[in-house]
Amino acid sequence: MNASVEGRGDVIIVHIAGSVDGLTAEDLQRVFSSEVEAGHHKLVADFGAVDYTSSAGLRVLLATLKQTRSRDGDLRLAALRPEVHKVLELSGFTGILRVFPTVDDAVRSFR
Amino acid sequence: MSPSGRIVRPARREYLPELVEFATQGVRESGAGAETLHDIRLAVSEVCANVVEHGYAGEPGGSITIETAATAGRLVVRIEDDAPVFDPSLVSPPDIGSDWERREPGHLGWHLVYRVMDEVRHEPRGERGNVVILAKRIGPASAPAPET
Repeated sequence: MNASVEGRGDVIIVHIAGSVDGLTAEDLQRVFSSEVEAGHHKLVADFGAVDYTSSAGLRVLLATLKQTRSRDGDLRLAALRPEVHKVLELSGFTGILRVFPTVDDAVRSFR
Repeated sequence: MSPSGRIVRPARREYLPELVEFATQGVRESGAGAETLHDIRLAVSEVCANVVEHGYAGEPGGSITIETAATAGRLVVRIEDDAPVFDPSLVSPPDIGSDWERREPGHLGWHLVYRVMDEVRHEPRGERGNVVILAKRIGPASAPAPET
């Protein structure tokens, strides 16, 4: 799993590639937490290159969602592959997270 | 698809990718769709991670054995450990209906295993040890999903 960060105005995009599982979830959590602690509370997670996520990845998303919303921000997801979207749907996460077809759509939603 | 195979590895996190890779190898070679491959990878990964984190729970020396068998478009994965007996069917369902402030992340792993596989069965091996049997229909990538 690799994660790189891009800023667009006050929105931070975290581009994620690879698998988010029990071995890599902590690394992703560190990236998100570092942004929140730096005062960046409007986050977009670009899942376009994520081929797999497990419950460990879902725990990271939930923790980051709570961190950002409790600071009047949000974590929004973009470009989910169908198999990854299914995991979120089965877990009830599509009911609490906002999901967008593209990164641009997710960024625009904060404007 | 390879008809069968067996692998034994120490029950440690660093061996999970190898165990999952073994269990899904035949699925990849069969040309099954990305969703089927993801489902099986997810189920095997969640079961093995639970064995490592909650089954042995730091107890050294434990192992995980995986056997796969594929017949007539159906994959069966048998996951065996020597950890204390644990029946996953007794796990409380996760909270998937609360709003974000009340949502708790627990119990999602087993929930997903039951949702993505066609069959999930647990058998105790005695006073210690568990066998979890996962089964799923393996269709070609273009095949429509079976009606349920």
